[in-house]
Amino acid sequence: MRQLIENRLLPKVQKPVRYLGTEWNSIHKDWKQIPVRMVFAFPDVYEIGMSHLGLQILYGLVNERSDALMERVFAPGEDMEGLLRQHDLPLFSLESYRPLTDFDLIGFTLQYEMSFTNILNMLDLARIPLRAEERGDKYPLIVGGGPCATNPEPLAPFFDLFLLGDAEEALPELLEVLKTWKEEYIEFDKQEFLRQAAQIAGVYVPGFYNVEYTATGRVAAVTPTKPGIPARVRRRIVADLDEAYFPTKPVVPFMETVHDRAMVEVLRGCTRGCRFCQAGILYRPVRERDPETLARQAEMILSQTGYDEISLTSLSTADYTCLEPLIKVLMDKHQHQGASVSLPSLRADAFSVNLAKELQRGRKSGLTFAPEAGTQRLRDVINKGVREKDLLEAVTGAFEAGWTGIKLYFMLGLPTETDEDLAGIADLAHRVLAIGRTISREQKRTKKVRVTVSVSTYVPKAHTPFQWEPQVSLEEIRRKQQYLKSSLNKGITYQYHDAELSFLEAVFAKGDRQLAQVLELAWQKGCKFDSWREHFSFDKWLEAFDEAGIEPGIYANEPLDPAATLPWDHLDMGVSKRFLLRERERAFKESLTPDCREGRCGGCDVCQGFGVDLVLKGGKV
Amino acid sequence: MEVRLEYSVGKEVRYLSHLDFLRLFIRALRRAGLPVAYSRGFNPHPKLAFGPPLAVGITSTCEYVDIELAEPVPVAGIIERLGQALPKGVTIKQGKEIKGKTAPLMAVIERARFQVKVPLLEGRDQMDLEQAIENLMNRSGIVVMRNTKEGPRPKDIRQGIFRLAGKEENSSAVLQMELQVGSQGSVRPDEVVRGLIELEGIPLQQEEMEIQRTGLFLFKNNGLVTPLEIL
Repeated sequence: MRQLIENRLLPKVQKPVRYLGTEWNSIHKDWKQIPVRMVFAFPDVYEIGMSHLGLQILYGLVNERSDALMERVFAPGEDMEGLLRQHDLPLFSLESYRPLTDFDLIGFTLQYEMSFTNILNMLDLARIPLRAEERGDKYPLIVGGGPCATNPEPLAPFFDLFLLGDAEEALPELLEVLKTWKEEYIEFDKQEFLRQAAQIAGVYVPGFYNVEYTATGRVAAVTPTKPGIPARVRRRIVADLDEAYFPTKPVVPFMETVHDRAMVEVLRGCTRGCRFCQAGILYRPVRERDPETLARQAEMILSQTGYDEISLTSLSTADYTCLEPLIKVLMDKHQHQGASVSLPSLRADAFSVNLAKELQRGRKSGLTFAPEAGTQRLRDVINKGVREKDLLEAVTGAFEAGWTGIKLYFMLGLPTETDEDLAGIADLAHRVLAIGRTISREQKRTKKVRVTVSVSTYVPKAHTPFQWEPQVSLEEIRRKQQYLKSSLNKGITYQYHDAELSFLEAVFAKGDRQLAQVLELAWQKGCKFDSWREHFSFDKWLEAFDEAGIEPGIYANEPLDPAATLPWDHLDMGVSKRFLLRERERAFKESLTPDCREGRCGGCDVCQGFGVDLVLKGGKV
Repeated sequence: MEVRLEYSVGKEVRYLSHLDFLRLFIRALRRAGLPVAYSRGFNPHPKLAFGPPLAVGITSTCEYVDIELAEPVPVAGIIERLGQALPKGVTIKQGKEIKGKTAPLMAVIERARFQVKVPLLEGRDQMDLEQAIENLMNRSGIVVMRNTKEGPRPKDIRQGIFRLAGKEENSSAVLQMELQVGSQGSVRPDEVVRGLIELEGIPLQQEEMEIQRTGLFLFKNNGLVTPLEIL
């Protein structure tokens, strides 16, 4: 198969390097020697998937074992898909060019809702029946993980099991069970295997749960159908990041990827408590890595990859308590070799701008800040601790230091938002532009000051304090987008997202199993790569909903009753519903909840539930 | 110090673009711990200069790169250390230190040799390949379509073909070509093959073509020399 693909297919595709599988640090194991074979499947193209740190962590973690191997597969580009179908070839793994059906386990990462159709398309290309019940004992196990696995209900019929939380914990345990099967039993019995797997903490087998619905079609109860199956599945967490595996020999792509640099993970979790933010709940508590661990890992990664940039990644790197000493150590060690240090995002304050100043090498093109909302009132509602003063200080500092482009990121359609809040976005942007122009004039610069307002539509997500809130209607999204557009002066660049796409995201983010049928119909109609504007067809999606007899607005636009069962209530993130409800009430009172890193526990119950604590290497802040 | 290296591009890496190769060499040099010199200025970049880009899909026995190092390292040491840091398919064959000034490879290389293996279609009339090649070379013009930014345009490639020979082997045509390359314009080996198909009616299966670059040359005293021989 490799010969045929290399000689006949690769010359005809636009980006053949996506499919080589021989990148530096890629691992090619001898299949005959390895009992457990897994392929990591990323339901988007190579250059997006290869930028994902989770892939590199699990690839290294599994391949470090002598009893298991992990290969990779990505959603093929449209040209490659066409050629595979034309030559009647199945989807193949990059390392060994084997059909996916040769593997014991296919692990899909669920990063965003609008990649769901790609999963179905990849299964189809691999010639694997879409629904778990149609697959019997012969096909690979289909496993999902990642943020969307915390409400995977729309995908439930297609998957055998999901891993909740940090996969470094549950995945090795799952592979152990699989290995026992492969070594000790003659014939694979999937149902029995799944029953055993369901005993592993963090493993959710959707087929073992029955969903009951109310007369209006909402979820009434989700209950296990077999004895010994937990009523609620709790996510797993890595308690100590210094002990956890981290890849120091990541695969180095031949082609340029979205994040084409070395990465160390300085911390996991964020307790700033923004009420819209799902990641802020899913990855609690904050666990920092020791700066010495990070310096050691950074050095190994740079020497093993040849990258000249190391990114300090996390949900909120500016919050890392040892950030400045870490940066100093890294710069002292690596700067003379031409390597730079970068941060994935900045907080909107002077501290962050000073850091950016220190780290910036070369041209100062643009900085991005995320005030999220246009007025202090609304920022208090969402518990985004940014004050206008902080933001204006930050942009002043940035303009003074020589940056000419500032991008401000906002959300539209947040709960309680009025036109006054939208006008606040325009007002803030105009003030930033005025500051920039004044400084530019004073410093007699020739380069034009650019201020960009980038607005996405708020999507209420499961497991957050706003999970009961509806998304504003499609017409209202469009009206708000246009209202904001008309409020902005010509000097501001305005970017906004597709309203229809945000609407569908809202449907699936809070969806239930009834939506599986819609996904399948939409895929049959040709929906894939939905998050790519050139592929997205809202009409096909509407047809799919229509044929399934499901009204999408019920999911996206109707409030949920806080007393009712939610479709994801049986999936336990460790954060109590009591806390989420309290946060919701505080939101409507415009009352702030401080970050627990500052000393006062906010009562989310994660630490108590998991028997862990915040890990702050530099002490409480 | 500056060094010129000759390396080969195998099947494993034939789909890499010129930019991919640039990235690959920069990273391999860093992995090898070789002290690459960086340019000064706002956006420092490593001082690496390649010869004429190899088209995607083509293997080569003779690519060249000039690398400037911040400190002297023996050439044998460079070849060994870099060799270990390069992926399968890229092999450093030899190298020489560049003493004094030399013109950039991209500017001086003018000739390229290729070997092209392309299957002959079945059920054809027995045609004499060598005769067809002679006929093609006897033409005053060989016009083929070339894809340009403005779309397909007719292009006469005759003046850029300096040698063309071939013979039949296991129902494939094996062609040897010497073509113009570089800043004065380039002729691509697949264009020559298209000339044979379209103008001389040789039934070749273009889609199955295997192309290898087998030589890059510049002129010295009216004779062809390799970029290493000139040093």
